[in-house]
Order: sequence, then structure tokens, then C-alpha cells
Amino acid sequence: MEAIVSLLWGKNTEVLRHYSTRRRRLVLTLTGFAGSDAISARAIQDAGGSVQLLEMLLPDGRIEEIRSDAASRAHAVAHAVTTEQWPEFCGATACGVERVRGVLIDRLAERLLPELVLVEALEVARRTHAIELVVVNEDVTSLGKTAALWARAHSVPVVHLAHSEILGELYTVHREFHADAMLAFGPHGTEPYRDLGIEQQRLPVVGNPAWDRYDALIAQRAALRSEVYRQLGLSERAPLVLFGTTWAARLSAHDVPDLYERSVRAFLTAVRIVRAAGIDLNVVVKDRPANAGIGKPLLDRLAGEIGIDTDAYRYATNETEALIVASDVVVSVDSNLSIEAMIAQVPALNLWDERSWTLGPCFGAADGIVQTTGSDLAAAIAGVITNPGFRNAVLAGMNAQRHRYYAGGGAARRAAEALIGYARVPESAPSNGAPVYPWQLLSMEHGNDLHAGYIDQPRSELFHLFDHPPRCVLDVGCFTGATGQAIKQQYPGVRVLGIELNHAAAQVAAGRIDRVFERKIEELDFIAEGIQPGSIDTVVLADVLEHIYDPWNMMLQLRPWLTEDAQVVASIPNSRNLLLILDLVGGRWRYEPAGLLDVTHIRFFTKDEIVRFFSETGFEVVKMASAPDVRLNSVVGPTDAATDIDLGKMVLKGVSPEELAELKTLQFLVLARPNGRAAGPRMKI
Amino acid sequence: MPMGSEESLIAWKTQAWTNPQTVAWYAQRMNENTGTNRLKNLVEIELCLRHAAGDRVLDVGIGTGRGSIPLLSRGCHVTGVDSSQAMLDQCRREAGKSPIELLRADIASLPFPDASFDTLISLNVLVHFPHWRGVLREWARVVRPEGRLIFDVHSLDHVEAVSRAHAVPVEELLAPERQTERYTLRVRAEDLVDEAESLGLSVVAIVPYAAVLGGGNRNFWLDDSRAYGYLWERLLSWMAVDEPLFRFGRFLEESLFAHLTTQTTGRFMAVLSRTSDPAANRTWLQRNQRINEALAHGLSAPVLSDVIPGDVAAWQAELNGHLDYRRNELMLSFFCTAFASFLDAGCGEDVLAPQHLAALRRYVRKWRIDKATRHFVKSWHRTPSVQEALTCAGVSLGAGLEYELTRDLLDAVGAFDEGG
Repeated sequence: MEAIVSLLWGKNTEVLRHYSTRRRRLVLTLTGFAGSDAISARAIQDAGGSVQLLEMLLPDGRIEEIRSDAASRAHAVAHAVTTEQWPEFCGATACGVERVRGVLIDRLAERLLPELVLVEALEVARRTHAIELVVVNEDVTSLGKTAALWARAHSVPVVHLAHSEILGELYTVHREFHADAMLAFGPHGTEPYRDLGIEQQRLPVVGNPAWDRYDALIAQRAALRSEVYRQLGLSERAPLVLFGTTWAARLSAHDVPDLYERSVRAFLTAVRIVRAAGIDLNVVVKDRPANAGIGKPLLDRLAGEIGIDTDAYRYATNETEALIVASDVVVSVDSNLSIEAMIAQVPALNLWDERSWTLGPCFGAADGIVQTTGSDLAAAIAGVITNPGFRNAVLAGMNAQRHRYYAGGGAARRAAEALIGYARVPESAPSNGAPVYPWQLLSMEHGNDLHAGYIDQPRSELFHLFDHPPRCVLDVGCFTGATGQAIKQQYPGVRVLGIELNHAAAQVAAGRIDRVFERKIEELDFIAEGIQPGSIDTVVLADVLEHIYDPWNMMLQLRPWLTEDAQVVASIPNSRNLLLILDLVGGRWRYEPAGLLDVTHIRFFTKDEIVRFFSETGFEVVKMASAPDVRLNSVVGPTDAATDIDLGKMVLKGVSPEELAELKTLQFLVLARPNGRAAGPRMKI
Repeated sequence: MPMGSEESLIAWKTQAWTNPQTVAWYAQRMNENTGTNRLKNLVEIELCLRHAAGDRVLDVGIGTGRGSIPLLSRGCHVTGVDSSQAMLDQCRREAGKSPIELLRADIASLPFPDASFDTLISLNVLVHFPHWRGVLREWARVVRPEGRLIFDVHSLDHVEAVSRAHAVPVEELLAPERQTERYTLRVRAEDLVDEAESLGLSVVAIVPYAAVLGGGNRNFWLDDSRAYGYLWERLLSWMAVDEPLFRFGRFLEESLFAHLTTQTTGRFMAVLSRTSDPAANRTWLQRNQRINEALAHGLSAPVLSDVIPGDVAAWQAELNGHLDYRRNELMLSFFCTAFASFLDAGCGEDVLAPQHLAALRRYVRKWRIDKATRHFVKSWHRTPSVQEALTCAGVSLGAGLEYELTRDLLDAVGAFDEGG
């Protein structure tokens, strides 16, 4: 299936939604990025796309193997660098060679693991999907860069959608460009890249999708302002001054480690002066979410030093857009907040720190952002609040330059269109057979197709269910025999038989396991094939039951050939999945090329119905495990009490911890064995 | 030059100034205070006022009159010619009620008898045209004996010196200027002096400027330094509103670079006298050459004593006074990244106050730490044994480590320690 790989951040979900509206694609992403949580995944699905987590392409247990691979690579690196001296670097920085060596190998395995997982998952994805585009929000940090380099290595187009308007110098790690293009917020943000020698045509301006919200927020400014005032307990009579903190990224020697403290001090000092002049102010300090735990005590300490009561300001870490729209003046340090204030038509003051120049300058004199230093910040705040002429002049200056930073609303759509422009044109057009809708897969010939959405990886998570070493295994729907091959490796001497209707897959499997039968189980003549009754002690049913018209009968057919202590291991999708229910409540039951509603699924099971299924066909479930649906990771409840789960349209009352675990399950892993009783009335042996 | 003939370039450059939009743009630049515009106007007009002789002034390619309108208030009788009537109309408006004689004419064919003027000035004109020798001959004709010619051109000495120092071919450095719309005349001082001598002219002064003007006045010494590109332009733009920065820029232009050589800056103002004086010409060229040689070892107190007129101690005090303002110190820090090896060699020790020298060295040191760290994080994982361990499916895992390693290494080398 055609897919894109996206490492876009959550704030850019809208871009993926627009993309999916234009092109139905599978969005492959990683946990933590847009599409990996329930809400953003829904937005993409509603638009016609689908989402798959890249990690999930790896079979269970594979991550542990990659972890040991990372450790051995780290070990090899540590060994390889023992004799290195790096005279040039050590000389230029006066740093001891042992210190450098220590830095290079410190936590190396830990750092390599996510990169290795990503690369391996991308390699699996490449074999099973036609990847038309890789899109990242950052192409210099570990995962974004790795994804971009992987795309380059395989000639897959890769685009970097800027995550902020670049204001200052592209120092150290930022002095590179791995994507085919970077989609920029405004012309100002392209200048540092042009200084780097990147051609203008690789820097198209589309705007910032996250700023598309501003039009709606501005339209309801009065209501928003009341709400912000109410929530933060602000004084109705006084104007609101918003300060955005900043911090040192420590990626350039020019950075200033105590920038946070220094700039907060300068701001609070100005607040004290303005208030001492008799001007009443509401003050909100907006910190970055990562500081939520530590920011407030630090702020309180600095306020104490300056002589400001800790109840004389409020502290916030989110709802930045609402705060800006509700403010009367926004003060920040070389920040995109100044640009957001420009968009929201709120006067912005940039607090100049010498870092503004050592790593900049971030703004020029005619760039529309008023610059203040610590010594004139108080006067500027007072001026904006008490002097309409000054306030209007500041706003006029900002408006005149706004076009250099802001491309207007609708950026998500423009970004999606730009991405489509970069995406690889499919080698085969839809007219010669590639499916546009999932149901078209049903009428396609899969017999010789190895790219039917299944993965050539062992399902080793099922082995953990074995309660005795297998001796003779029947793998029903064995595909390429990867699982059987792994069983043979793990249990020497075992005989593995497989059933597979896909001819190409069966051919591969034939080279890996003992026998492969290319026919339906009910048509298989066990005796003629040399299989004795009571000889099979292990059956693997990996994602099989939901595809069969009469799985009950299949179990009955199997029973005579099994030993009395036979183990049947199965993986079965969970129909009591919270997202599936929520979709149904919302009126959706949409078949997909893969997943819970894979268009080739014809039978559906819940946990209870799985137990009943085996029971009615002469088996009993002895062990059951869950593969969690990572899209539901954010849904949590108490571990020892029932709780209500509020999902907007749907509220589930009194959900026990066990029920919640079941609702968050993607797939059940089951061990069943013959129950020693005669099966139900349909038994026909 | 893609157009294939000098004539078409001349025609294009002449024609360009008849476009009303171009005229409006140029008029605005004359008056507006953005970027380094005010500094450039000030430097150029000061030179005209200082060197103009007599009261009959001809301004060739007068444009909007920025070079000669200030002379009106001195009582000069100004005649201006321009190929563009739109420019002349604008100039008339700019001059207001002051009498000024304006007429259309080609710069290389002036409708005046020989020796009609005491001074010919021409700002931002010859820089656009390739046929400077013929033009100069015509200009010399209309100036009386002992009269003055004052005009600016871009320096080829500058580009050639940078080409040698940075080992980049001249043609590569000048490639952007080879397009018609960006055509820039560059002349060697020696060629200009030789041509002047053959026309019976002598050098009064050749004054380098545009060390820190930015815009179309690229200072090639700053290539690959921190004082480069859009970000350097942004820094310079603050001269429009930051008076101490403006005064420092003016100090650098008028009190330092004006006394140096045609290799040091990308532009110079030529002041010639219509007097044959081969000895003066040789003397000037020898001085230019001697200072160039001295500057090969950087700027030191002995070199300054040689070039700065007047009290060098007072000059140094003024320089250090400017540097007490942090933004000036930062601007010079950016500039000095282009001359880091001079700082290493002790340059500046006898010129700058210790705290300013330390600040410049600290900035340059941090700039180098960044460069060294970047180079190191990119290269260490490319040795064969490391590369083998850090390659997966053709992808370099080492590249993905660079971000975190940069932060860790900067910490390890003490980049953030007090005093750095």
C-alpha cells in the first residue's frame, strides 16, 4: 500500500489530515509523533487516511534483540576509539583525550537504540509499502535526521516542515540541510538558510500550520480574554502583560547558561518599576511545558530576590495562543512569541540580551519588533499600556513587517499541498491496478503477491505461550514460513507443517519449513499427506480465525489430528477496542487496508467470545495475554478501583482496571488445548 | 557579461535610471534612514565637501542631487546632468528654492566647453559603467587646470588581495557581479593612477570606504566569517536607530579605513587634481603599497602611527571608548572572526584596552570552539572501524548522534565556563 513516513509533531496533525483528504495513504509514524495518539489518529482516519506505528511493524521481542545489537555496536565503538587521539579537536578546545572518549561512548547504546529501531522499522516498511514521502519537523535531531538520511539513501523524497521561524544564526548542529526542501513560515525564516548557501527554491514559504488557529481565536478575543482572566484569577481592571521565558539550548559555545534566570530577572524588575509608578498590571509568566515541574519554584525564588510577591503574577505552561490573544503586551526574548503577537495584533517587545547578537541578530532594526534592553523595558511596557500613540506606532510597525514572518491562515492546507508536490509519483498509476479504496483489495489477485500487507517476520510473541516444547507444528496461514523457521531454530528436531494459499509466500515457506500445503484446510487429505491422527501437538493460528468463513468448523476438522495435550496458540484482533467502539458511536465502521477493520476480516471476537469459540469447538483457553493498542496509551485509570472513562460523545461508567485493560487491547494472544470433552452437535467426524 | 557588448551594458545602465520607480527608490534612499544608508551618504558627502574646490561645480549623473545639493548652501553654483529627465525632475524637487542648473546629457559626452568647472563630482555613477577610461578623459576636459574630480569606484585591489589570501579565484569571487543587472566596475588603484597620469591628472587622495556598509558594498575579507550574509546586514541595520553604533560605524569608516588602502575595503573615493604631478602619483602608490605590506601582519600601534594623522593615543582612546558600548564590541567581534589569526599573533595588544581585547578574543575563541566541535562530531564516526559499527541499512547512525554529542562536548570542553 502507498504510505508516507511522518515524524511531524502533534501540532502538525492538521497537515496530515489535509494530506489524507487529498491522498488516502497509510501514515507510518513513531510513538510520540502526530498520529500516534487516539485523537490525532482519528483526525487522519476521518480524512480518509490510516495510521500505523512503525514500531509495530517489528515483531514482539525484536526490540530486545535490537537492544542487544545497540549494546554490541556501542561496545565495538568503544573498542575502536581506544587508540584515537583527535589532536586537532583536543588542541583547539584544550580538552583531554580521555574526556572526549568518555563523551563519545557515554550512554551510546541507549542513544543508538531509537535510531536502530527506526531504521529497522523503515526497512520493514519499505518492503511492505510503497513509501512516497518522508516528512519531518526537524532534520538535525537524532530521529528526524536518521529518517532523512534513510530517505536519501533510498531516494525517497524527504521534506522538513519547519517547527519554528528561524530567527538567528544556524549554529553548529543546525548548519546542515538534509531534506530536499524546508517549508518555511515566512521569508525572514529563510534568510539564515540562504546564508548557509541553500537555494531559495528549496525554501518555499507556506506558513506555520499551528498558527492557523489565530483567526478563530482573534474572532472571539473578548470571550477568550474573559475566560483567561477568570481561569487565572486576574484583576478585571488591569491590563495583561505576558512574558515568555527562554532558555539556553547549549548547542553553541556562545550560549548563555543562565539566560532563563537573567531574562526573568530583567522582566520582573521592569514589572516592579512599572507597578511602583502606580500602573496596575496583571502579569503572566508563560514557561515551556517541559519546565512545568521546576519553573514555578524557580520563578518564585527570582521574584523573592527582586522583591515581588509570589501572588503578584501567574504561572502558565500551556494555552499559549489564548494567552497571547488575551494579552495587552507580550514580552519575550528572541522568540516566535513576538511573531505570534504580531499575528494576534498585540504589541510585542523583544527583550534584548547580548545573546540576541552573539547567536543572531534575530531581528534587524526595521523588522517590526520593538527592541528593549533591561534598562528601558519598564518604560516600554508603561508606554504601550498608557500611551495609545506609542501603542499604535508599535502595532503599525509590526503590521508593516508581518508579511516577512507570517503567510496568513490556511498554512496546513498549503503545507499539505507542498508535501504532495514533493511526494514520489507512484510508479503505477491507479488505472493499472493500484487500489484506491480498501475494498478493491478483495477483487485483486493476491496469489503471486508478496506485498499483500503481511510481514515477513516471525510471530515469536506466540512462542511465549507454549507450555511444552513443540514436536510437530501445524502453522495455519503460515505466509512465508518465518514463524516456523524461528520455531525450528529454537526447538531443534521439531517438524513444522504449514498451510498457505498465497503461492509466492508458500514457495518461500517451502524453503524454510518441512512441508507447505497450498490448499484450504478442509480440503486437505491428512492421511494422503502422511499425517497420522493424534500426531500434531502444536497449532499456530496467527491472525487467521478472523479471515475464515467458518472457523468453528475448522477447529472441529483439526481436532482428530491433534494430540491430547496439544497446544493451540492464536492471535485474534479485539473487537471490544475502545477506538473501535468510539468510532461506531460516532457512526463509523470503516474498512481499512490493515488493522482492526482490515477489509478481509469477516469474523469478529471479544475476549469473552474467544473463550466461547474455543469452548464450543472442544477446546479450553488456558492462558491469555494482551497486545496493547499504543494509540490508547494516554487513556489511564486507577489500578485498584473502577472509574468512568469520558471520551466526549461516549462515557463508560464504572470501568474496572481489568475491563480497561481489555478495552485498550489491540489483539489477544491465546493458548488453548483440547478440553477432553466431545465438541458440540456440529461435530462430523 | 552575457549581453556580449559593452555598448549594450552602457545602454542598459543608462536606461535603468529613467524608470520612475527606480527614481523614487533612489530618492527615498537619499533621505531615508534605514540600514547603513545614512552612514554611506554621510561618508560620501563629507568627502565631496572636504575636497571640492572653487564654486563652479558640475555633478555628473546628479540623480536626485544628494552629492551636490549640500554644496548649494556653501554658495556654489551647481550644474547637474543626468541621462534621466525623471531624475532631474526629482532633483529639482529636492533642491527646493535653491538655484540649480539641470540638463540632460550623457556622462561621456558633456555639453560644456573645456575647463568650464572648478570641481566635477560624480557619486555612484562610474561604478555602473565599463568604459571608465573614456569617461574620465571627457570629465578631465571640462575641469579647469588645478580643478578637482571626485568620484567613487569599486576596488579590484580588494578582490585580488582577498583572492590571494583566501585562495579563491577572482572570477569566482566576482561571479555575482558579472550579471548585467549587478554589473559593478572594479578598478585597480594603479590602473586608475596610470590613466589619470596619462590625462594630466594627479592624485589628491584615494580614500577607501565601505568596510562596514554592507548591502551592495560587499567586504570580501568577511567571507566565511561571522560578519557575513543576511545576519551581518541585520546587525548593520541597527546603525539606523542606535546612535552609539552609528558613531562607531562612522569612526571605523572615517577614522580607520579611510586611512588604509584600496586592498582593505571594496570601494574608494578618488580625488584627482587637474595638474600633472607624476611624483605625487608615485608617492601615493608607494604609500598604498607600503601600508599593504605592513597590514599583512595586522593592525598594530606602529602601523597606526604611520597611517593615522594626528595624535594616535587620542585615537586609541576614542576607539576604546566606542568599545565600552557592548553592541559595538560585539560588532567588532563579528568583524574580527575574519582576522582570527591576527588576534592569535598578538595583534591588537598595543591598541585595545585589555578588557576589549579579552572580549574579542573570547568571542573568537567561542566561534572557533563551535567550528571545531562541529567538525569533530561530523568526522570522528567516519573512521572505518567506527563507521562499520555505526552503519545500519546504509544509514549512518553516527550522523544521528551529532546533536546530542555537540551539547555534551561543549560542556566537556568548558565552553560555558565563566570567561569561556
